[in-house]
Amino acid sequence: MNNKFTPGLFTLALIFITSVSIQAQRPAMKYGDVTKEELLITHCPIDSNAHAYYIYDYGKAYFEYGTTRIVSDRPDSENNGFQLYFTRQFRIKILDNQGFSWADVEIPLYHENNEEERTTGVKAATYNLEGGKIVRTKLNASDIIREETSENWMTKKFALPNVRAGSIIEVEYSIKSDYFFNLRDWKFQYSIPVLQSDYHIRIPDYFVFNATQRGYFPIKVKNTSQNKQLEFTYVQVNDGQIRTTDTYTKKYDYMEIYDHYHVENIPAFPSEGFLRTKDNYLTRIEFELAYTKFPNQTTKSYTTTWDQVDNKLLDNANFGKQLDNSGHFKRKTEALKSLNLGDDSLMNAAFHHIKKTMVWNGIRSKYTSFPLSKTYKEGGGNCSDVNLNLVVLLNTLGFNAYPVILSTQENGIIHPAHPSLTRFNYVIAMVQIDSSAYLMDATDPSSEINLIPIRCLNDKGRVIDKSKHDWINLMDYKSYQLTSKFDLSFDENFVLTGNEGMMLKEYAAYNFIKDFKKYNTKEEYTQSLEKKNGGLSIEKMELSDMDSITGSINVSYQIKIENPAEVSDNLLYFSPAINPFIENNPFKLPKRDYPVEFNYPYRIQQICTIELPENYEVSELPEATVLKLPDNSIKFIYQVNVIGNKVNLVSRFFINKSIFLPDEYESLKQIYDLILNKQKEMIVLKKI
Amino acid sequence: MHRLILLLAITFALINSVSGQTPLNSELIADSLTRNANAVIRFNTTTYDRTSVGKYSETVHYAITILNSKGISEARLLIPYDRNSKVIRIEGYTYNSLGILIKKINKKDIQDYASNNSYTLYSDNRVKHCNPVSNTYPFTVEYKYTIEYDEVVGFGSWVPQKGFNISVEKSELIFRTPAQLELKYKELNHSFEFNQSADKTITEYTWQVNNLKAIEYEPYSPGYLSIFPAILLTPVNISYEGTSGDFTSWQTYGLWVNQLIENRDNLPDETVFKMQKLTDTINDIREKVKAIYQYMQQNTRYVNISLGIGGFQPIMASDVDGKGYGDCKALSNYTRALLKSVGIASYYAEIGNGLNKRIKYPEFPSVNQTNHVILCVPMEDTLWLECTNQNIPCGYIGRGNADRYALLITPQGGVLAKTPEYNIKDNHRNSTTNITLFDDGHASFDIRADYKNYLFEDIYRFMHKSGKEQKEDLLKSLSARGLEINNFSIDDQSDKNALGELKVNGTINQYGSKTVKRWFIKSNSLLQMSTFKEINASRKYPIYQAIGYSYSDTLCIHIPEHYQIEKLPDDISLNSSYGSFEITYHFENNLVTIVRDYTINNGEYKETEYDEINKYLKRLSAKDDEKIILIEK
Repeated sequence: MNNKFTPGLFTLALIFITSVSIQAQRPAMKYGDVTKEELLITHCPIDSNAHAYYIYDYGKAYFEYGTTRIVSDRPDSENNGFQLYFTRQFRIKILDNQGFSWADVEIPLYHENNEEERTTGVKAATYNLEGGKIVRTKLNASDIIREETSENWMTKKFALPNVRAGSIIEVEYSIKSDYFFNLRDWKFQYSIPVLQSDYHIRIPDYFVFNATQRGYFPIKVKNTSQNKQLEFTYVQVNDGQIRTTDTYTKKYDYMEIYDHYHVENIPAFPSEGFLRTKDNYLTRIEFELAYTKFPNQTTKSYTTTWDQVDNKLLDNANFGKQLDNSGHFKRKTEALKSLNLGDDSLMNAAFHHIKKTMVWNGIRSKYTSFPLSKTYKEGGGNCSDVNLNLVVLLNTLGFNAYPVILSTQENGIIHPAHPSLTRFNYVIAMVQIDSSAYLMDATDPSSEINLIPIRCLNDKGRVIDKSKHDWINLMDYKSYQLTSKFDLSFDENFVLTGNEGMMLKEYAAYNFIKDFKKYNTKEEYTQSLEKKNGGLSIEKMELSDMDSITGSINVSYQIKIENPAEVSDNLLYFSPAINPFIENNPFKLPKRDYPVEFNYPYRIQQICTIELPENYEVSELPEATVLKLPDNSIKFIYQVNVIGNKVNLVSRFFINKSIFLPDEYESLKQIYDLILNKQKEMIVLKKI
Repeated sequence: MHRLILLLAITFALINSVSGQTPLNSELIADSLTRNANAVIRFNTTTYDRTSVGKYSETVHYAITILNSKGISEARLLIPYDRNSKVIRIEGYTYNSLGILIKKINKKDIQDYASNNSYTLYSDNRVKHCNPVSNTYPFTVEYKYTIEYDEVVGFGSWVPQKGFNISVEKSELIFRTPAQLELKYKELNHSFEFNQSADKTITEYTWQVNNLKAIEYEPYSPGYLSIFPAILLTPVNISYEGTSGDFTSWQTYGLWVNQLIENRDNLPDETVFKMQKLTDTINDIREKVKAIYQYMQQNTRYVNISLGIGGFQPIMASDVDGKGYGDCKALSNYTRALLKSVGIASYYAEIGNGLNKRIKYPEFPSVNQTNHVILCVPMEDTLWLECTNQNIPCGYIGRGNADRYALLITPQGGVLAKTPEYNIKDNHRNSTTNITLFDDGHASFDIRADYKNYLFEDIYRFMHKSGKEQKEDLLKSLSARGLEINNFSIDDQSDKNALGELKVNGTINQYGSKTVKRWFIKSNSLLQMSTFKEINASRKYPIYQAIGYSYSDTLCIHIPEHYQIEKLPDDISLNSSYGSFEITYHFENNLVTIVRDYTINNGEYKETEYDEINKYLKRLSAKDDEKIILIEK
């Protein structure tokens, strides 16, 4: 299994690049400047299937100094420093009523303590063509609703008036923010096409941001800069018998960096399954504050290199500083050590101890919420509370244990070329013994060493350590392994009865446990299987120990299948794929624009022995087949033999790769079709 | 009186947490209550205290044991409230399987956020939310909270079992009301232990249930109010956002609604003029309504912004006219105003939409039996209009509104009227599919199908999507492997009836399955049929088939020259109370023709009928799977 792709390289695999025509750049559009031609359009010029499209999406972010006239006895003129302004203006063409939801606008705003984001100048209007004339309906300010969405979020909401098929809507607003590190990311791609999108940022060189481009489509960038000057006026008020003021000014020269990002004709992002998150492929630009350097001050570093990311975390009170805090494990460490276990067993014991005593509250965070001793004592917390406790316990036991920060699947992949701390949202534990790494996530009671929850299977994680400064692959440790054996025979009514045994390993076992735990008893579980499969009855389920799935789980039961075969005069025919592992082709569409992603490799085997009914002999058998993709990334083996009065079917199915690129899609779809066809092939028996 | 209640309540909570006993030990739960249960309500005491015509409080105190991971969402606390109510106290505790207290929920564990469903842009609705967790099962949570209301419009229904797979050890409802303020109630699906006591000033009602076993979801069940033990509650005198009403009868209820819509149907002169111009050349009144309805469809869209009384009162017709949007109330009221401007009278009609909402108890007027508004235009063969959909044919109100009571709001009050029921034979799909088989196993196909009335909705889902989306939907919905579509069209042919037409052709890479000598061919259509395969004979609740419909599908299969028929299935004609099924197979000149007629009757089917229906379904499903066998000549 080799999936060591990097998103950077992948971005270069531009299947669309030819469709991006380089046109002369349209001039910036003025608010309100909607033309009749635009209103007359009935189809999106780049996608005849679109229900709506962005004609134009324009964003601007810049810094402005809060107050430059500082008066000594006026607190309101205090030096507030830079504030960040963001302005957005967009115009959307609504083509039909399926596109109406684009006329409902929401602007989320963050606030915390005394710092907040505020909107200014929200303007919006709808344009329609009525009797050949452009009619503009403005949004009333009173129709803008303010919703206290949750503790830290407020949302401004409004529905544009008079929206019909053919309307153009235009929206403009500005946001003033105290969070100067929060330079807004810009999305160039949506679920509707975008004809033109521009993002302009002007940043004083006091601030340095790392920019990361993502997605399939190239973003044109123009970087320029110009000299600027900031002039402060200081007014010193002297309270004597006669009130006097001294005024002096001071000037600072700085360079303003001006970046302009531009795209044209970006197709709609489709909604497709088998993608961990569309965030990995949406064309957009992201910013992360690297460092600040103000006059007469030392450089304040945020994130510039990966090593600095590591060090920053190690210095953080809610991360690295917590790792020194191990007093609360004193007794547990002694107890565990006294067991005189080998390395593997000791590591496992520590892992199970944390799994058992600490409950994850569902919150993903790289930072702890309280001191480790407190969350350990309380028996739960967020994933950092849980897993940093595990790291500390492992360390006190003498292991080389480290936190590994990562980004969960739905949070997107970390771009290795662009150091960023904020993109990580999760932390797990790792132990290194010699050259082997052991990953552990104690938030999930069903997980095991190197069998981490599916949410964590996302490219690479960063090992946080003073000296290591390294990445660790999060995938490819374990696969989905299922072997099932059927031993069946036809009774006199042509009902199939017999035994089914399954051996589940790794993610197959993990998924089974997750599923099984939803039921109170084995009976309730087997009933649920019966409900899903009409004509199937299951009895006498037996199950091996499930406390640990480091080995395998064995499940067996007796099954009875009504109507497995069709009978006519002197023929009896049936398809021997009793419990096919693919029942439907999930890939029905002829083409796919984005990759197909699997979480882990699959190794599935089925051995099925069916005793023939009395007085019947085999007339026709399916031919043995091997189907595979050229790189062996998918392989299907199917073989039916007759031995005495038994038919013996062996089939194997392997998926050996986690990412299939769009140009591999067609063969992926095809092989699924072929497998399904093969599984439907009949064994024909004839009466003797 | 109030102080006493408070004191009692506090004492109760203390007993639970201090006595040292562990009544919440999960081992104390009877086996009969854990069977098929994901969670067990250990106790629930819900107390309503109405203090005046426009004020009441609701105190809920309950504990629930979570048995497995499917029950985890039941551990969650969700207290809905809005601008007319406030949550004044929340307590919460979690216990381990032995019932020993492990955590007290703190203020900081409780979040507060806006709560809007998917079709709402903004409402006043908010929730207090808390989500305790545990790695091990079972565990128990206990909550107690009080909500104070500054309005009385309805008390909802009290359903001790919060859903499927939840059992109840003990649950009680206490309702106290000033003697002069009547409470109406209706018990459903259970005989509750009931008590009523009164002193001079206060009347107190109590209902109690013990040991309710978990109910399992059964497909094709009637709505939850036909299954779960419940008590419907309603005030008679109400007070809401400065209005007052009397819910003695639907007529008086209608007077209150009329108060809310009165004088909200004025339109700008311009629009009145536009409507007159639009219709003055049309003579037929039905056509006039259609023209106006289509104008409304083209000039408005559905947006739900529900503020305060806006939950019950439509925004002004003139505002809808200016903004071009509104919710069901606003758009129905707007359409009413448009019709009025050309002299056509219509009634604003409250209705319960969907399986679980409808005016089911006409003798029990209350605000909770409706959730939607449509418009009724009385005439010979009365027209009903669903005003929230921009594409639906004029006069078609859909499965969700048909065949039930609507409450027409007239200046004289409310009047119950039945919406149309569509005839089974008219809820019809008529299709012809031609399939040509080729030697290598692939096939070409061509389908033409008409979908009428209820079944129109099967195709309506795709009708107004883009070509690409329609093609994708067809690829996903046609039942064949290795499908490719060449051409297709989906058209709205509605006239008096809703009618959709599908045409599609393409290829299938492998039709049926081949062996060296034989070819096994499916004899069912590529179009799917909506039915179930089997009834679990041990099911507890009747089968509820909400709508009846019928299919006539003809399948013509052209087989290659050098094949002949080895087996052609036998014709069949089957009848049951649930439906009927008839298939004929015919072979001539290399052409197999299969004609299938299939009817499903709407209705409720009781246990005594299951055997017969099951036999019917089994034959039907076996027949559906039966293959035609071709053999090389």
